[in-house]
Amino acid sequence: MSNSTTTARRRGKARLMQGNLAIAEGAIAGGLGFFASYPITPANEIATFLSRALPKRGGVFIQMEDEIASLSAVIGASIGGLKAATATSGPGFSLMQESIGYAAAVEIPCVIIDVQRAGPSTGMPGGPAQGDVMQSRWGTHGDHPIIVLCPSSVREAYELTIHAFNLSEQYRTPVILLTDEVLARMSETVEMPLPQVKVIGRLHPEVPPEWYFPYDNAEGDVPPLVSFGHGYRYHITGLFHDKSGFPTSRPDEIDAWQERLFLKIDGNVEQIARIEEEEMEDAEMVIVAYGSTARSARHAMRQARKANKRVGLVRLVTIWPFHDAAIERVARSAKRIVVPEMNRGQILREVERASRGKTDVVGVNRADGEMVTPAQIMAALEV
Amino acid sequence: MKRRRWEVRLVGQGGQGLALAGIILAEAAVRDGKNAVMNHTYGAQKRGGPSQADVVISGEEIDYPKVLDADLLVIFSEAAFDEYHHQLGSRGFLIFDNSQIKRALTECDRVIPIPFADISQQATGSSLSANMVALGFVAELTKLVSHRSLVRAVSKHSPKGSLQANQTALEKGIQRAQSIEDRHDRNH
Repeated sequence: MSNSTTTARRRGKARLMQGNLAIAEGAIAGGLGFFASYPITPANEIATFLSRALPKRGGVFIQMEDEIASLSAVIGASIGGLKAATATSGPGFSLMQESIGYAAAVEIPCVIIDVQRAGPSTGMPGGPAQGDVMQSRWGTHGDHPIIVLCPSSVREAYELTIHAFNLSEQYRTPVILLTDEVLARMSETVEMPLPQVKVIGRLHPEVPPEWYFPYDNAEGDVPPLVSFGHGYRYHITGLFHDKSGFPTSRPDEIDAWQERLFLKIDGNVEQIARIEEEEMEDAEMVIVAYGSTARSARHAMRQARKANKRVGLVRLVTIWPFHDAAIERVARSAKRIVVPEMNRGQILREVERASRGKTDVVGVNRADGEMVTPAQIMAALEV
Repeated sequence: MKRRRWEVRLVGQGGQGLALAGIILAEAAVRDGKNAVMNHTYGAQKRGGPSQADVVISGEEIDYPKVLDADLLVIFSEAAFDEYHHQLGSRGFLIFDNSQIKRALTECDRVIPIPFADISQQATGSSLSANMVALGFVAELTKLVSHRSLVRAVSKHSPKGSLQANQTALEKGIQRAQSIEDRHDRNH
């Protein structure tokens, strides 16, 4: 985690900061202009902060009637040219699924923050979980690509929120910041200054309005997007559409569009999927972890290293697209891969798939509203 | 700081200000140049439900953010006492508010009853600042954070109407810990 320090710090060079607050501040630093959400534990601090901070900066905050309306409003604001986001937790995230598919299909940038809590259903509002991993990938109907980021420290939550806005503009896609209750509500030391991340804006077309097509495959993987109200008239629909945005049922047009839709993400996995490796040079046993569970994993790894065990950590900062190649590389040299998660085994399946049977893959799972403990991971490392 | 990682767990019920005490302790540690994590978990109720504030303080990076084996387990209510007192590990100290908790417990070196609510009541006219009495007591006993940082953190996080009471209660807690230390010194 990027907040690490082993040397004494001078007074005033750090701040105690809550995870949700870091996300809210990161959103503003990332250029947020519109935020719409419906209250839910444990995501509330994000909206509370933005309801005060965003209007002061000329932005718009709306508390909507529900989560369906929240994401719809966000997509509308993005079409209108603002960087837009919403924040929710499990039950609200379920309600947003249809609109996530819509945003993916019409290729409108937006950021969805899901602070995972224990579920299914109302579950345990104050208990952490990582049960929405597969929902963040496949929750909406129909085949579609998606980008999902998982921070592991408060400082990283700030940085990845900015990054989420950048990726959404760069690839014209919804991006999900998938955090969890532990990280969202804990306060921790964050080194100052906060990370400086270059903010990426919307790519505008060079052609005049009469030549513009919002879904033109000839424009590359990511055709430029013009916000409504700038003289470029075009159509947006969730129906399969041609390059102009009007509905089509021609298989050749649909096929070419889908090909591009996937290629823009799958063709850029190396650029999009961040992986962090620690103590991997001589590692025989490898823990693959993400989100707050990566902190349990790091504690376990350090304990194991003290006992002269060759244990390494691969931290998934991006979980979708999944970095198959990185996991396969690890699987070739590791005797065992241990995958701790606050669910019944979701990334575990991906690690098993990407390992192609080259090593033993073991899950450490719990979904009872408590963190995976370092001791549980240590036990799984024992041969 | 002699030890690398200090773990303090405050448990009681919603409304007792445990999150506030936790955040002030963590903030003071950050002001002292240390790393800190504060984790607050609670039930659905605003008041009356279970409340737990975990504070981890270290001179090094804090990986696992929750309490593994509490150095200090501070208990503010009977319900929390019944649920948590057995969690005390092999090395920790149990401090409990014996003006709120009427439980027979053999006093020993690692079990410290202090009437936080009564001390607050006498000093400020209200038991509401029991959390600050406890905070002052814990800080003085462990020397985890400096007095200067603690006072500043109390000022920063106290609601305007209760700052005076909180400051008074904090000092009472500190004095209580000092009197224990003095007694300890005389006895040894």
